[in-house]
This record gives sequence, structure tokens and C-alpha cells, in this order.
Amino acid sequence: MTYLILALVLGIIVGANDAVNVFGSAIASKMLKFSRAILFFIIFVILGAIINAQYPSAIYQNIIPSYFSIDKTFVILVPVIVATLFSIKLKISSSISQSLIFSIIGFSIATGININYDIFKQLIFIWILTPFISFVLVIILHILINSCLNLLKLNIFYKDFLIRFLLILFGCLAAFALGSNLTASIVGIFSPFINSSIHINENLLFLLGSACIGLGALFFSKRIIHNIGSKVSKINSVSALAILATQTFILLFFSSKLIIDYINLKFGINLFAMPISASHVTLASILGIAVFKGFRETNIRNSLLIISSWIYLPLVVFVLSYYFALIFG
Amino acid sequence: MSFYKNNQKELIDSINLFLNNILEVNSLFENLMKEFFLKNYKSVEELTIKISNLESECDKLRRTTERKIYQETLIPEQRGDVLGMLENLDKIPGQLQGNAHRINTEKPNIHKELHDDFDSLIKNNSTCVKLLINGSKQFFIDPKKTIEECLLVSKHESTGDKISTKLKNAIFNNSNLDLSQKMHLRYFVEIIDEVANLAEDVADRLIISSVKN
Repeated sequence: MTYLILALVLGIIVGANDAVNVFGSAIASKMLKFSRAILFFIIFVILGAIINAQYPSAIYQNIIPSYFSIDKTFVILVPVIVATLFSIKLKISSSISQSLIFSIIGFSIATGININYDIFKQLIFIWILTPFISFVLVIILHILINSCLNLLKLNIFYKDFLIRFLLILFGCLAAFALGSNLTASIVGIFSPFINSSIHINENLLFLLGSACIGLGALFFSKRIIHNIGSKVSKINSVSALAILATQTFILLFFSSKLIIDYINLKFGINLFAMPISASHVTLASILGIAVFKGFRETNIRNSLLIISSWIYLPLVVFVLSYYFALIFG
Repeated sequence: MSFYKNNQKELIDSINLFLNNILEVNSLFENLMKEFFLKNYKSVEELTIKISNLESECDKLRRTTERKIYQETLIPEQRGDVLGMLENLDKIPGQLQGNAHRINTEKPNIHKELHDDFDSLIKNNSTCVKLLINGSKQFFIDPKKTIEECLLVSKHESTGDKISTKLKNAIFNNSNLDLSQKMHLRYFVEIIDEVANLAEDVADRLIISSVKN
């Protein structure tokens, strides 16, 4: 049970870290109030976790076929918690799913557990690919949204209403997708122990995990959320909508079994549901908008600092987990 | 969401009412001057009261609208521009109300030969206000049209300057008027012309806001 508590603590940290990815741009553009946005976030993160978390969580079982024993989970979770707290201190939203996978890899190498490198390679490939897809997709969506709004010739108050409505809609969808992804990340590593070491219903486990994410978002995410607008680039309402829509499409795409099964059938490939870094998608989308607007009001230095954290944070987690495993494994 | 939508509708309605009230004040002032030239002072007084009431309503509408926009954090990007526009527009009924009160109280002695010039100055100012209100309404839908209308305001303001200069020359070259009368009439030319100047100021700001948006 101690390990489960550790995972729930991670859930709270994840909530503080990841709420920014869903409603950060909408709040930064002053289109949504923090309290209202967090309420939607909590509801849909929980729904996403209960309805869909089992699909992306399967990755943790698949990446190391001979799974570790439950008493070793703290060796995996502690480096992730340390790295995430460090990134929160820097007011940077880090990728929990990547940290967890790198922690598992570090642990597995140190303890000699077999790793399915094919899955790992596919994960790395997708993780590198998604920021680029986000970068391009956000520009396309920005142009599309702007063209539609210009075509509709709405009164600015109705335009404001429409954008708010869409921000909430896409925000809820993104929260749903993130609920699946994040809960899969933080409690998914316990999935193989359900009914053996952990006597708890899987849905209850996902509910607990997502509730902790909600608590973290409610109490600790405000600082990062208010920081995102000024840290990278100023965001207006249309940009916020394009960023959120991009994130929703990408997160839903990679966490939905239905979509992935269809893609596999259609293109004859072997794609699988996996946790995607919402933080990377968000930043890449913000940068896409910044480039589209000719780097106006963009803080290049901070952008580079955040991008560099994409490389050093997983490495830090990997090294920490490796040495932790050598000491405690 | 219906809460949001009702708020937006209420706001659009109150802004439209505010703009229509300015148009109404403008047209009442035109009528007031017609009645004044006909020396129907009773009607002038009634119209002055009507203008005052409408001006107060404009103030109330402006305050309510501004408060609602801030409370509901609506239109965050255009908020400053819209509030600036409303505040500057509100100066026009204020100026027209002041003019009406001064005409009603001071009853300047405008000679018949100056009536036509005064009339064309008032009509020109009235056109400026009408164009500005049209431009302001378009600002919420099509900023390009706002720019077109606002450029016309500037054009009419220049015409107003020419008319007022011509009027001042006519006043000061009139040997039938003594200096105090000339000064009094010049003052009225200036306060009537001030409406077009205010309209031009708002139009200039609206052009910048429209380009920005």
C-alpha cells in the first residue's frame, strides 16, 4: 500500500505539472478563469481515466515482458517524483510518461530485466515525431480557425462566445485524453499487480489516480499556468484554441484504441496506444504559433531552456533510477 | 453556456442601444437648432431636456457595459479598445448636451444671413456623428468597414473646419455686430464644431484599433 501512496503523491505532482497543458493557453489568453477551467479539468480527467486508461497503460507491461516485483516500484517512482518536482521548481511542465519509461529502463538495465527494445524504439520515435506534428498541425489549425471565423463575420462578442465554447469543448476532450494518458502513467505501472499483490479494482485504482491529479491541479498548478503565457510567447484566443485543438487531436489519437485499431487496419501497421507527452505537444504548438507570427513577443531563450529539459530530464531520471536500482534493487 | 450566450446578447443589445442613443441625441440637436432659428424657444427647452435625459442614459449604459465586460472577462484582446471607444464616444452626447444647454440658456443672436452657414456646419457635424456611429457598429463585425467609415469622418471634419472658418470670417466682417456679439457667436461656432473634432478623435482611435484587430 505504501507504493500506492507514493503513486498517488506522484498523481498530485502530475496534476500540478500537467493541468497547464490542457487549459494553460486558454487561461493565459484570459479566455477562461482558473477556477472554471480546473473544474472542467478535474471532471474530464477522472472520466478519461475510468473509461480509457487501461489502453495506454498496457505499454508498461509490454515494454518489460518480465515485470519487476511490486516492492521495487518505489525505485521507479522516486526518480520521477524528484525530476518532476525539479521541473515544477523551474516552472517547466515536464513529461511524466517519458520520465516513467526512462525510469523503468534505468531500473531494468541496472537489475538485468529484459527490455522490449522494439517497443522502446517505437516510443522514442513517436515522442520525437509528436512535437514536429504538433508544430505543423497547430499552424494549419490556426489558419483554418481564423479563416472560418473571418468567413462567419460574427460580432466580436459572439466570436468570443464561440471561441470560449470551443476552448471548453477541446479542453474537456484534452482533459479526457490526458486523464487516460496520465493515469495510465502514474498508476499504470501497478496494473500487472492487480489481483495478485494489489487487491483493488482497476477502475478504483484509476479513479484514485485521476482524483489525485485533480487535487494537484486544483492546489498547485496555478503558478505554472499563469507562467506559460509570459514564459514562451504571448497567446491570443485563436492561438489558444489552435493549441488546444492540436493537443486534443494528438492525445486522443494516441490514447484511443478505436482510432489506433482503425489506423492499423487501414495502413497495415502495428501502432499501439501509448502515453504521449502533453507538455511537449503544448510547447511545440506554442512555438508553432510563435513561428507563424514571425517570433513576435516570443521568448526564444526560455523556449530553448524548456526544449533542453526534454533531453536532460529523461536522462536525469534514467541515471537516478539506474543508481537507485543498484543501491536498493 | 447559455449563461455566457445571454451575457453576450445583453452586451450587444446595450452597446447598440448606446450607439442608437448617440444618433438620437445627434438628430435631436439638429431639430433643436432648426427650432432655435425659428425662435420656438419652448420647443428648444423641451428638446434640451430630452437630450439631457438621453445623455444620462448613455452614461448609465456605458458604465453597465464596461462593468459587464470586465466582470465576465469578455473579449480579452479587444477589451481595452472597446472600452476606449465607448468612453470617447460618450463625450459626443456630452458635448451636444452642453451645446443644447448653452443655446437654450444664452440664446445667441444669430443673424438671418448667418443661418445657412450655421445650418451647413450643424449638418456636416451631424454627418460626422452618423458616419462614426456606423463605423463603431461595424467595429464589432467588420473592422475593414470601420476604417472606411472613419476615414470619411476625417474628411467631413476637414469640411467642418472650412465651414467654421468661413463662418467666423462672416461674423467678424459683419459690421452690424458689435465685438461682444461677434465673440459670443464665435464661441458658438467653436462649440458646435467641437462635435466634429471629438468624432474625428474617436475615429482616429477606431482606425488604429481596427488595424490592430
